[in-house]
Amino acid sequence: MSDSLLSVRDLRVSLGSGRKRTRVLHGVDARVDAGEIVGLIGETGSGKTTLARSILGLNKFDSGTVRLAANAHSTDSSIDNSGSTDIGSLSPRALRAFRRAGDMQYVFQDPLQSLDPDLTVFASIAEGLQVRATRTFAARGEVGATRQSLRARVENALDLVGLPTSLADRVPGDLSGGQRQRVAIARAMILEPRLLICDEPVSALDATNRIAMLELLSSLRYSRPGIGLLFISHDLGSVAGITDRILVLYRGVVVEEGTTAEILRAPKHPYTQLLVGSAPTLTGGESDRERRRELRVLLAATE
Amino acid sequence: MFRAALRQPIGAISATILLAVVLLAIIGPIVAPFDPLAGDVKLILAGPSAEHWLGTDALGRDVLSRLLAGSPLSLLSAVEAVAIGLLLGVIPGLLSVYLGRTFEWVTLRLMDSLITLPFLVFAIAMTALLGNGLHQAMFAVGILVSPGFYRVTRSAALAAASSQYVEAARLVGASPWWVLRTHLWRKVAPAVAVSTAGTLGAGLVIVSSLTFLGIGVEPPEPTWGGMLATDLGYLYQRPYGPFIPALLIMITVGALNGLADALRDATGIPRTKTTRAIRPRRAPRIPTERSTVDVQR
Amino acid sequence: MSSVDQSPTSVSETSVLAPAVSDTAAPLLRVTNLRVSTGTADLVRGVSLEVHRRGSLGIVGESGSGKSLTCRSILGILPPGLTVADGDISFDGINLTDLSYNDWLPLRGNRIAAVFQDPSSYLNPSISVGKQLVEVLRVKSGLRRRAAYTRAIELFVSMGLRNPEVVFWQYPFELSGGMLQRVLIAVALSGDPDLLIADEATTALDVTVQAEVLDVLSDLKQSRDLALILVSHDLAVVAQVCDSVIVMKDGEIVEAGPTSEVLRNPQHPYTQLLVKNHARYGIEKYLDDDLVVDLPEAVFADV
Repeated sequence: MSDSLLSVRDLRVSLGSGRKRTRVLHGVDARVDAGEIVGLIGETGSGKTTLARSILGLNKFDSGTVRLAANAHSTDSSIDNSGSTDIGSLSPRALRAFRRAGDMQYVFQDPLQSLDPDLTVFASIAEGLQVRATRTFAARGEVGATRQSLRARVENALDLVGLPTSLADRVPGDLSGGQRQRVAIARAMILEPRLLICDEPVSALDATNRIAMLELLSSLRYSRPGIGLLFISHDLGSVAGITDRILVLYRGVVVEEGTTAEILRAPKHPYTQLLVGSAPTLTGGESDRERRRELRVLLAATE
Repeated sequence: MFRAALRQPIGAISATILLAVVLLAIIGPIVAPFDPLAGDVKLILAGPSAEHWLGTDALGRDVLSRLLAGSPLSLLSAVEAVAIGLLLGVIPGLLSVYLGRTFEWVTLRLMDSLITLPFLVFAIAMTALLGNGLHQAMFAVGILVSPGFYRVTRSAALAAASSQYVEAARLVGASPWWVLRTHLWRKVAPAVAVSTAGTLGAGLVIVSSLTFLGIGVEPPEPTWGGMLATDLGYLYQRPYGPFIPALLIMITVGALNGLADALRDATGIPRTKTTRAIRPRRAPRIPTERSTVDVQR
Repeated sequence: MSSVDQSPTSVSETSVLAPAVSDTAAPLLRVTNLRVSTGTADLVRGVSLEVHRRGSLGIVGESGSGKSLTCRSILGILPPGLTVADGDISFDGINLTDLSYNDWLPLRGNRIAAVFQDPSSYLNPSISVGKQLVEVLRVKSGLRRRAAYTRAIELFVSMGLRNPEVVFWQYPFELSGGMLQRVLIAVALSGDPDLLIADEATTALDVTVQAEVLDVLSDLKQSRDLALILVSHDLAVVAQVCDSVIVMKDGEIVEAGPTSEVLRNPQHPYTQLLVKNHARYGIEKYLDDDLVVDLPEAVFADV
């Protein structure tokens, strides 16, 4: 669909080299429209990380396309006739230019590893803007090679994620896990992306912090209207509270897709049923256990 | 990093000693009371006296003056060797992380072969080839110490280059040069600093050994190693003779190694990932899928 | 469950007893007024709880709530610098607070066992998992090699591990998190303990695998006459398996009682918050659940 913000078509990706090369994604179709929140649910080994990395252009694909819709500000070099950027076909230089434009951003799962421990929060968040400024004169003007405008933008980003601006001069080691996660989001959001991909946004947080994070992520729709959000998670229950649509990835294939309500109320594929049945609820009981046992046997038989 | 090293006792002591030695090298030749090359035949192998603090050598030359005059040569030669080593080691080390498999393989094998060559033999062979000068010898030594710098740089750069924060930088379109400047440098510099201090010490020992053997310096040019050699010839008459240059060499090398230790301790505190066992258990963890990191893209 | 013994549930801040829920009269484990201190600060205060044979107690709290320290006190493995400053821990009549290392040997592993969060850090990566289990069997239970092998295979089967003979010879890196955790539960059960403590044992696992492990733990309650203490930051996880629950915050128990009651009628604001968060962001709202209907109005004020 040309209206989709992100469209993935028949993506096939293999990893490893030589004899160890195995196909991880077997023709994945996915889409994220502007303004919606999509959850991509899959367990370890389902290929979800590979899918995310392929969308970001960090993996080469065997076949298939990943397209991000262009808008008035997209760099001309990357747009082709369909009016979108084909990530897979970009040369390394074009890919770098595309990334500098910042249309698509990624929030890593573990901020302890994704934030340089030697850089202050300010430096980490501002990095994207500074990289942009080294290239384009326009960007330099926009960023204002002045520290003040850079500072102002970083403070805005901190505000957006609900962190006090006084944290800007601390290093990641001084912050709590939840705060670090927010810094990672601020780093992504400062570039004003149209698509934000978050890897396991709440899995590393405990119960109360999770809620705060989900609220923050869901609020991005209002502070940045039109933004498309893609959450990758192994736990349906953790993101179902805010997603509009859900894609279930199992063994490198999207086995089911639908609105959150459809998936949760009437899951069709056995794996989806197992996912829904496995999410801990406050009223889980013996009947659920039986059903899970049946589903596991069913799935094991298909191996 | 340096400040942290100086805060440790061994770092402070070593740095002071080295400062004194460097001062010696700079002003030594100027304040030398006597001409190091001029000998007073009447005062051969004299013991320490008010006029000649450390006595005179076999040709009546003032030992103290010779020591002071010889400092710059010995020290500078060591620095020269290390500088060449740095150039030939650090740059390929950094590049090997970025320029692809072939470059990586070639440089690794090259460095492996260099490691197998013995220092002195190679240095001597080089002087035979290129002429008997200290510069040629130190050039040879520089080549031979470069694998150490290569490996140290490469391992620090490799660890940093495959980290998530570098990947995050690439995802905002950072060039390899930006990544190097902003992220890698801070991780590589401490390791290189420690290596440099240690290698300077080793370099000084090598210079002394070479000049002891008479390689690279034509007498009567004074050097610490050379003095040691000549003094050994007159042990009977002046038994304490060799101790003086030897002590100077030992103190300097010891101080350099001490500085290297202090630097290593100062930078050894893990500020990146702490191992699972000691990381405070604040948040639950989940398994991550492993995927190949494609450095090029 | 059988007769619910309603001991008075006084919800004072300092001393709350979890009501006994089980067949036998005297509790297997009784903790009274536990206080764990660093010398200058109290990290756990006034904690009292009881667990009966075949009973299952859940401890819910976020990081810093003192739940792990409570478990570690029971096991006698507090980190250096922390001591049990006050209170009693009584296990089947034995006072656990002042046992020496040698006194602990017949208890730990044989009568009280534990599994923790990250399975791979508790296994030697260079020895096959089966051999590690055999080692425990031979040392703790004094079995001979062949008997130990047979018993190890039996334990693996009871954990639901398919192809136990194959798994026996596999190394930790070849197994998934869920399988490793089940191996560790097998190790924990090898001495036929009376009490099993699972401290965030499923937190690091994918949700489907978590459900599987929790199902295993549930089955164990019945099949092995085992008392279980399950610690988690997620109220729902505890709700799946435990008959009674205590909620900890900042080192104290804020609520305690039979699970169904606590969930149906949470008294303390913190517990209410946890329940409300589930209602708002969990998948419960999509499932037709009695729970949602039964919660008091106030809890739903802003859902």
